[in-house]
Amino acid sequence: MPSRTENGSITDEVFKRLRDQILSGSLRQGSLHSIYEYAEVFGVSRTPVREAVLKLAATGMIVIERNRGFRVQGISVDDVRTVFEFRLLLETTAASYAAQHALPSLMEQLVENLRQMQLVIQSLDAAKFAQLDREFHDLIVASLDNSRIRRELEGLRGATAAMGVTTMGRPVRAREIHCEHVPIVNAIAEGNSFGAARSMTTHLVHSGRVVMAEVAARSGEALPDDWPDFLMPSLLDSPRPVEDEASRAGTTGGMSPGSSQVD
Amino acid sequence: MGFVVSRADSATEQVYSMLRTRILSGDLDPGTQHSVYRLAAEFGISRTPVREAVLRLADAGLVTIEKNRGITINGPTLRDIREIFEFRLVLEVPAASYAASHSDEALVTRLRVELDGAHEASVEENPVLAEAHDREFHQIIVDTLGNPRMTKALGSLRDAARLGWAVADDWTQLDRERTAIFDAIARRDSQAAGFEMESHILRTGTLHQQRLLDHPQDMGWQRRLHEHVRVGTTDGTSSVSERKRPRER
Repeated sequence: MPSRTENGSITDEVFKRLRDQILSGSLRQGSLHSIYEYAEVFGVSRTPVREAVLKLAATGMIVIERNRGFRVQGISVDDVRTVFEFRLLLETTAASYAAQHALPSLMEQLVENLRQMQLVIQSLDAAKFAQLDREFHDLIVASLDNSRIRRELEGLRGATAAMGVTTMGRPVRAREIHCEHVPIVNAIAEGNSFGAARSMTTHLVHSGRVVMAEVAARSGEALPDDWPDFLMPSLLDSPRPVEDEASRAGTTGGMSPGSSQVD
Repeated sequence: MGFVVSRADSATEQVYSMLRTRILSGDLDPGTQHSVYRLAAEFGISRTPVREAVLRLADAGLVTIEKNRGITINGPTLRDIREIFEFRLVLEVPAASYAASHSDEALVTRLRVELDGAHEASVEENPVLAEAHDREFHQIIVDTLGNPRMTKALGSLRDAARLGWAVADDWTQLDRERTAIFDAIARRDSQAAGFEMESHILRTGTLHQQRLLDHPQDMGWQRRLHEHVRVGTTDGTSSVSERKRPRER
């Protein structure tokens, strides 16, 4: 048995290559493949292929069919919906809670995060930006002091990252993300739970719509026109400042999976 | 999904479900260590399916994988229980409200089957069956949100909490609480459904914590998320006014 790290890095490599093949369309949607086949193609043992396939199955990009291998599902708008709806539940609760229980140290970290993000936007460092964005959301969720919720969020972000969504790498969206983070931090600083939940909702709904638009542009699916319907109307601003960016994301090119990691 | 189950997959599946049952039933004591090697010998199969089953168990939080290729059986700690039940609040309170506001005859019928099933199983003092119906009852409610990721998360949370341990004294009360959730959903009262779900989860969580202690005590966490978990409700009028009030400084 290879050591854990060795095995882990082979798994990661296989995962990335399979993912990129799905995203580029060279693995056609609906096609069936065996683990055996890819162990041969990549020249590795079946264990890392099996593990990579399990990871891909967790993202919803493939479905495992017992005794037959795995079937390529691609990414659907509905996957994105499930990720962002789950994030809405976890993160609006966390933002609301943080507004009443944030320690001074958390406030300092959030303010510092905003400051650094501003600098990074100017330097156009997409990787650094993604890292700061991840840190921002993790800081707020961590205030709940619940390792399970924190891990779930990590998994949800991992799922969108695995989808190869590149929206965040665009300077326009990066600036918007920064602008949307500011009122969340302000509301937390003021102890305004409702404001924090509302700003977090606006931010996540906007991000969800942008990512959905990007996936729809790839898959040719229709976008849900009334999303997310489970949120009470008062948490969603109207008119939503979303439509412009959503249509822009749909028409702008520059999709290069893996080049600028989101989340 | 497939019609034929391959040998390796079915072995993994069997080992997984066997070990899971033994852990959930308390047959394998929390804190004890077991080697993959010996488990494989015990089951009379190769180590690969055992290793894969163990990875899945670790994923579900039921075991911890040790460096020496063994596993330690996890038992829930007080902190685990708080985390599990708080996560359930975040997930199930909005789900109950949503289910109530979108309730129809089909949903009510399905919930009633599980409600009655849980009741009968309690009367017959069959905790395994009662747990199965209770699990299904909660699952149906979360499923109204149409989100497989949430459905899966709820399943793992329930596994991690070892709900099979419920003791007979609690059954009448649990029955009453489930009925209250059911009634609220049936009459499409989304606020009441969220409220009843919240009390039910808080009470179950507290019971679980008390079982780990020699004497009952207030764990202090029970109300802390009260005003924060109602974000996803379609009818949150009362919580909106609560939220609008800024913290006094």
